[in-house]
Amino acid sequence: MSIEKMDYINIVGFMDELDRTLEKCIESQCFHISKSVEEQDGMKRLEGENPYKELLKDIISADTGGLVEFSEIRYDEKKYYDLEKLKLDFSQMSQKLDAYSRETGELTEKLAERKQAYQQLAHLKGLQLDMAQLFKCSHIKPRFGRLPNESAQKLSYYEDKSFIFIPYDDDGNYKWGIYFAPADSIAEADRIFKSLYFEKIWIPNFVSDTPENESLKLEKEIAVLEESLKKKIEERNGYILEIQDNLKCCFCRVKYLYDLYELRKCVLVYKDKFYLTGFVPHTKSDEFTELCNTVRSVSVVSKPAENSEKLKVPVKLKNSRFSRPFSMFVEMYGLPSYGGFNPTTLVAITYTIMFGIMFGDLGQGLLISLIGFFVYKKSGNKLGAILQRVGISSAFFGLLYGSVFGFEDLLDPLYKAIGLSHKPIEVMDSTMMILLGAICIGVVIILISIIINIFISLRHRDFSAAFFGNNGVAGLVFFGALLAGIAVMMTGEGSLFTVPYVLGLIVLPLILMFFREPLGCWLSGKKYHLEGGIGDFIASNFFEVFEFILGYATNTLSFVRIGGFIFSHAGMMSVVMLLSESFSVGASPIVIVLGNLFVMGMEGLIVGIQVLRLEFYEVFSRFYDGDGVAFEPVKVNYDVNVD
Amino acid sequence: MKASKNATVAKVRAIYGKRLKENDYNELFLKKKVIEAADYLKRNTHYSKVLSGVDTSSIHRGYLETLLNKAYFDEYERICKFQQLNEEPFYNFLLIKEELSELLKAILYLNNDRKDAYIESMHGFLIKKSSFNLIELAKAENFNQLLRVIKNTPYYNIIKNIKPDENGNIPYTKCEVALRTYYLKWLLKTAEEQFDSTAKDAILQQIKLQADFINIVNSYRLKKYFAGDFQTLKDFSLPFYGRLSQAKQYELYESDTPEEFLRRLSRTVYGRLMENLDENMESGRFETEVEKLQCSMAKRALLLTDNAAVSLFSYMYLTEVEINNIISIVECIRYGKPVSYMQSLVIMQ
Repeated sequence: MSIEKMDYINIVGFMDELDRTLEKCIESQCFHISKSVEEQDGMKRLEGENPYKELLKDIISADTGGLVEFSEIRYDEKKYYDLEKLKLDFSQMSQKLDAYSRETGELTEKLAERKQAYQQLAHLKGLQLDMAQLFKCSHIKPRFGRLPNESAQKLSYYEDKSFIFIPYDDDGNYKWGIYFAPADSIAEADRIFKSLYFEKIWIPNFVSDTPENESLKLEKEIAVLEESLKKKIEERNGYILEIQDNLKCCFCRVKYLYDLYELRKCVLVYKDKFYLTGFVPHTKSDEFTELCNTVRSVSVVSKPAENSEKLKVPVKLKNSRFSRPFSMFVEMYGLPSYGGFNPTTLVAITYTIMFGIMFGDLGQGLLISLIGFFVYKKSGNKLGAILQRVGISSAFFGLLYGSVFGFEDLLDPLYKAIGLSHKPIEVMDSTMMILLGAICIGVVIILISIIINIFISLRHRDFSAAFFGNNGVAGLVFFGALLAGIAVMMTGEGSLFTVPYVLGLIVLPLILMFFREPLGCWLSGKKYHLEGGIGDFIASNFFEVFEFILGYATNTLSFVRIGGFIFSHAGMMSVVMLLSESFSVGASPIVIVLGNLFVMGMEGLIVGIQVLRLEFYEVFSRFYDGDGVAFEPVKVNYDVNVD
Repeated sequence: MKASKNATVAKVRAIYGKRLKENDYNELFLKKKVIEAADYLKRNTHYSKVLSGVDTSSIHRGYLETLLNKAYFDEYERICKFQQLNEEPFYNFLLIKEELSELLKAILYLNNDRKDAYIESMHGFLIKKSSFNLIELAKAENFNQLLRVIKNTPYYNIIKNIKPDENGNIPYTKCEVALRTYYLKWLLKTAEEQFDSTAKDAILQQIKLQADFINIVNSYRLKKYFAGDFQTLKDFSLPFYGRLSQAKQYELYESDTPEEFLRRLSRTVYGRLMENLDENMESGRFETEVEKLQCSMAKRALLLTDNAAVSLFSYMYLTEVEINNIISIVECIRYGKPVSYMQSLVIMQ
């Protein structure tokens, strides 16, 4: 339930053992490599183009018609160890795939040409012309094609020119037709029609009959070509199925080599030696050292991560089984820094409780939990695991509110059986209690957050924040004293706000907060430098303290939403019930089911977001930085993206 | 009536939401051929409808431009018809703008003795809508014939007194200033007559804003390329003043050099809004910056207004910018220009 302890690892060895060492690092599955090590003392970073890049790209881009999806598979390392043999294998497969690709491409192109010709002839079907006779004309030249309707309107400009355009079809955008011009002025007509975006259509050389008859011939030819193409594709697919395992193995092997080579960019070299640094969880440190020591010339030095000097230590959260899925929310905000506080357990507990309170319904809670169970089981999505937990909490509070799928009286016999005269909490009759309860929850959470911040600040020897900050001891005293005073006043049993109480527990902490920076420096034994003059100091600190006071009020009141959502849930469910009553007996259950699903979907989502908002804004903002680096052990990534 | 116009405002905003985004431009920048760009527009953008019947694998660049321009005008007509705005005179503004643009184009081609080229560049979709015969305009061989074609339109009186020089060349800039002035006067007059006070103020502001930007760009060009003096700049400017008063505009015209012009501009309300204004910047970049500002002001007007006229007026300007962006990209692809160059020309919204 904290942050896993790390060891800082330094690996030194001879260059000829580098690849084997990197292989061991991958094999260990627990080595986080440092990418940000700076070149120093004559040590140079290994650069250079990855020699496996081209081959890998060739494999990925092999035309497999989308039938092969590259991913990690187990393969016989010995069989694919010899890269030259692998290249030869792949080259043979690639050549055959290229040949198939070329052949299907040619057939597709030929087919497309014929289809285009067929479409074009379709526009000529109304033309009862013997095409052969037309093409034989020596003094008059015809041109078939289509003219945009926009351009057709401009033809009247060319009245005096010696051409004629005869449209025989109109598809809304184009006029299909022929223009004729005498042989000696066809060039001019061509130029004019080109400027009007006339698109000539290709009339096949073999056209010698009427367009209608030629269309029939083309239809037959298209059918034959389609059949040939189909056969060729089937043949190619058969071949791909035959080689796909081999191809995938080639991919995995080359991707492994590629990623291994990429790791070289994190290696520093001095003469014939390499230097590699990284981090390993302390619990795995010995195991890792032992594994690396199997490489002959390599020496591994392991130190506590705190000795890693400038390098940022990666963070691996250590969480209990219950809180583990909630690390998703923590990671979403940003990981804690190494040596910081892992808030996952706090989030898990507060999130589960607050969600349950805001969305209390026994039936819906259990259903949510069940859905979460299946989602997690099926996809491994952490959100599913979170739903399982918050669903149970929701069911528990539903039991207290006496609500099952919106039926408010269903649990009455149960309460009577255990000796209760009514529900433990009657939501609609306990407005003030619920709202005050919500604020109390907020106060407790804020106080816990402040106490956590005090401990973290003390650990980092930040005395200013620990003692005098708004989330330090001064803030804790001020906030606690103020709340205690208000609470006593509300009970009507006198007032705590006596002069010594106000001066000592309210005014003094405010003064300490005002002078927090100089006081912090004084405690740490540092000299305080006043920047911007005394006026600037007073003005900025006055407004900051004023903002702190406002912050306490707004942050506390922010928790009122917990109560608000209890009413909102009860209200929405009563609307569903009212609606169901207004429908017939047959339709009523459908309305109840749909209503429940709607409320679960919409309100569940809103409550989930609101609780997360409370966690991030009211809790995390008090003590959490979220600037840690995630622990990512080096591994081969078997995806097809290559830089 | 007001409530019903709000529907147009909402519709325009919804249509504007479908504009090309940064991601679309980035995709277009990467295209190597015009047909690839056309295909992208057809498959992924709101131009898919206008390009649906077109075979993008063989489309000609010029035809693509024609289609985009037609789409621009069709969109305008569709919005106007949505709530019968086309029955109100002000909403003829785009047709008038296009007519004037055709007229100026015809004059330009006449001056260059490229009469046949005009018919090729003419927007064919205007032939049936224009208030004068565009085919006859294309056939005009001199200024007198051109005037005869527009005899029955208000444009005739605007340019009839402009005399061609001894070589028969028509003073294009004079015609342009006269026709633009007419257009803006028409807009202002129609808006004054048609709208109530709040709507009128809002649309007048937009119109005058446009005049300001035209004046800034034109006077800078005259200063930069023709070393125009105060009088020349004043003569060629449009007599309308938005957020840049007459005195402020004259102050700009008095600048001795283009650098001083930019320096003085940087002290004006527009200059302060232009992020990258620098007195040594290239002319092309300056114009892009001006257009960027104009665009952001139009966008702001479009998003904040509840007035249909302001909404449509701003939207048509922004769409025009978008089409110009596409045309620029297509030109760059055709001539193999680098992505950085394309980026410098495009104004993203």
